[in-house]
Amino acid sequence: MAKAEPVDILIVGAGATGAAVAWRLGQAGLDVLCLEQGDYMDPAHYPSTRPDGELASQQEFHVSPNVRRREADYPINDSDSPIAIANFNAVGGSTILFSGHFPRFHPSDFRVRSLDGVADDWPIDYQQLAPYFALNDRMMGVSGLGGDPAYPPIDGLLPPVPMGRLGECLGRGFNRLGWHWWPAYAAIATRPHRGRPPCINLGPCNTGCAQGAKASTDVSYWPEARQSGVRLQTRARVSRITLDAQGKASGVLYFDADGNEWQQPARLVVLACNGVGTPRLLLNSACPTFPDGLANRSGLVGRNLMLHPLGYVEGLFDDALDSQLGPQGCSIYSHQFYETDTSRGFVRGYTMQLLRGPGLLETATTGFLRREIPPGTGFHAALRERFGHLAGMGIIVEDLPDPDNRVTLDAELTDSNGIPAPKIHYTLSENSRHMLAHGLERGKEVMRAAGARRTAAFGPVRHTGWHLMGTTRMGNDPARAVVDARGRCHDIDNLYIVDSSVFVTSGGVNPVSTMQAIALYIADGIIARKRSAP
Amino acid sequence: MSSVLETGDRTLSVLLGDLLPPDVGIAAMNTDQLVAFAAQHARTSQLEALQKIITGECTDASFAALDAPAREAVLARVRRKHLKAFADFFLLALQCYCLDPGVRQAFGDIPGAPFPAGRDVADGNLELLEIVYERGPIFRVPPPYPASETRLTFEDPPPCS
Ligand SMILES: Cc1cc2nc3c(=O)[nH]c(=O)nc-3n(C[C@H](O)[C@H](O)[C@H](O)COP(=O)(O)OP(=O)(O)OC[C@H]3O[C@@H](n4cnc5c(N)ncnc54)[C@H](O)[C@@H]3O)c2cc1C
Ligand code: SF4
Repeated sequence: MAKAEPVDILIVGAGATGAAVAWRLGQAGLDVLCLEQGDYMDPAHYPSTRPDGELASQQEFHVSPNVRRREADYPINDSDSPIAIANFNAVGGSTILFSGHFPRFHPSDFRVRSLDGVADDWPIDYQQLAPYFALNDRMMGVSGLGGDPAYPPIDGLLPPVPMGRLGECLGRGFNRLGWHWWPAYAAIATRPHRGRPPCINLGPCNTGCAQGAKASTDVSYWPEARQSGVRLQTRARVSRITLDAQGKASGVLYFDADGNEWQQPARLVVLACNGVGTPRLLLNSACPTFPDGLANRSGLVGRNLMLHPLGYVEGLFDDALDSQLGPQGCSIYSHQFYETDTSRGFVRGYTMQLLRGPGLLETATTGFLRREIPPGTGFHAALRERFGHLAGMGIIVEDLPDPDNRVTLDAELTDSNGIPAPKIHYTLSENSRHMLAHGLERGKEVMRAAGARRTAAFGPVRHTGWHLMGTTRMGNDPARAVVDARGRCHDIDNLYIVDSSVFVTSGGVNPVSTMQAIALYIADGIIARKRSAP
Repeated sequence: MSSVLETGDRTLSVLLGDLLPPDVGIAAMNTDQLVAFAAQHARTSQLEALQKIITGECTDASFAALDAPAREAVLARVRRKHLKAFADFFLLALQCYCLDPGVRQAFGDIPGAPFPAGRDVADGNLELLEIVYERGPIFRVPPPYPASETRLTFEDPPPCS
């Protein structure tokens, strides 16, 4: 096995959080190397640049690695879960596919036990993260509108993504019901921003933004991180973390693109492989000192997986809403049912996220499969009635932590390097079920209030396990948490975790804004530590 | 059975004419285009499977030789008895059809990829938000932490650009 030159700080994973932490550490002048199993993406070849681009989301840009099967992907056994895992493996990680919907956690999300008597409080809070939310917004280029009554003041936003006729129509519906709504927070540049051009409303953000307006981290954090001296090595798949005689992390073993195995020594290791990849790596790093997986004396590595069960509501409108135009996941959102009200029959709450309508092909195929668009003479009229007339809405349900929902290692399945693959065990809780049912009904209600002629609602939707949280939870008590309030493993003090594995609870919002703020905050802890004891 | 690519069998073209007939600004679905599309996506077998099923359902005359009501009756039988084969075929045809730039244009889905000009989306009326704003904050402010619990801060974080 070849041995690489030692580095001071080694990051594993170049996605949402790996990029943020790399940039922050690089800015502080530290010696940083990031290993990423995927490659750089070439935006010039994203599906939206091709006439058949809409097909790609069902093939090589599918959200599931099990369907996509690109070279960088690893298989995930999610047959034991009603929700399949969604991710992407490349420089930029899952942000290559993300919608860029960018709400923050609420202040109350960090105090769930104190306020609602469930789960646990976080050892950090909104106040502490506030400067990091703001810093991250500047780096990612977040658009939105100030004055939102769902949040403490948020400044410095780029102008909001245009809500379109669709957003206006649904906004009127929310107003009729007296419910909260607001233009979406979006990690999408609406003006030129830090070298990125503005959004031109191409729409298919979920198969990569060829324009570079969406802040996938390959175009937001990484260019600046690399400028500050951070090295990024692609096609490097880490198989395990190694320990020295003192029980400290001494580096990692990884496979390069040709299948050669390398030893990479490091003084400090940071994991940013996401809520499935990080516990997988820790479990795969079991050794005599940690027979149940590295840093797993608490037994909590892989446990408390939270997924945000997602419900889908659809409304069909007589008016042309031009709903196929604009960033797919960013128009308006509502937090009317976000904060706990126990009279609803559940604790905690959910986001209603308006989604733009599907493209022509998806409109036609789902219409046919639901027997709403008949082949033959009625085909074109029925398709015209739907294309651009459909509004979608995601109901993002807060999932409470449950130790039985977990990531383990599959006994047989491996990736192309022979590394054991993760297996998902997940069941929807009663609380999530009630919340989802409530959200689906309220979604239909607002569609009707906005004038929808027909509504449909269902959930949980299978291929929506894209928010992966809780599998190495944060806490002050080593018996009840994997990392401390600084993101440092209780069991190994030079091993850090910065991705949403550390989430104590899941909130009811898309997580990247919060996880990147946490990653920046943890980075500052590492910097402070390095400065006090280099 | 010989391949649909090779025979002069008109089953496919007549079938497509029935399922995706011409419409304002759109010609009937082009058979050659579908055959090429299916070959490109390694799905020729789905065309052949349905062609075979239809042929099997037409005992007296070829499908192409039947009049419209008779073809409709055959198709209704096929859909009832061979739903999956029919759905696979039609979904494949839809993929080919709906990705055609001419069809997209006819449905107003312009400009097409690679979107040189971008697309215009209405800003929407932001005044509608006044009433939402006026109702005031809806987020909860958590109680202060007990004095015994110190919050972690990192003094003197490095400057950032
Ligand atoms: C279709 C889709 C839509 C989404 N929309 C939104 C949205 O609108 N808003 C939002 O907030 N979130 C959204 N998300 C979720 C969001 O993208 C993820 O939560 C986020 O990117 C996770 O960040 P991360 O840093 O934890 O991991 P990732 O971004 O997933 O990055 C992890 C990286 O680690 C690498 N890696 C893993 N294991 C190894 C290993 N052993 N060796 C080397 N490298 C490794 C992977 O290749 C990957 O690049 C969406 C996700 C998807 C898939
Ligand atoms: S809508 Fe905007 S952000 Fe989304 S892919 Fe198009 S240009 Fe990029």
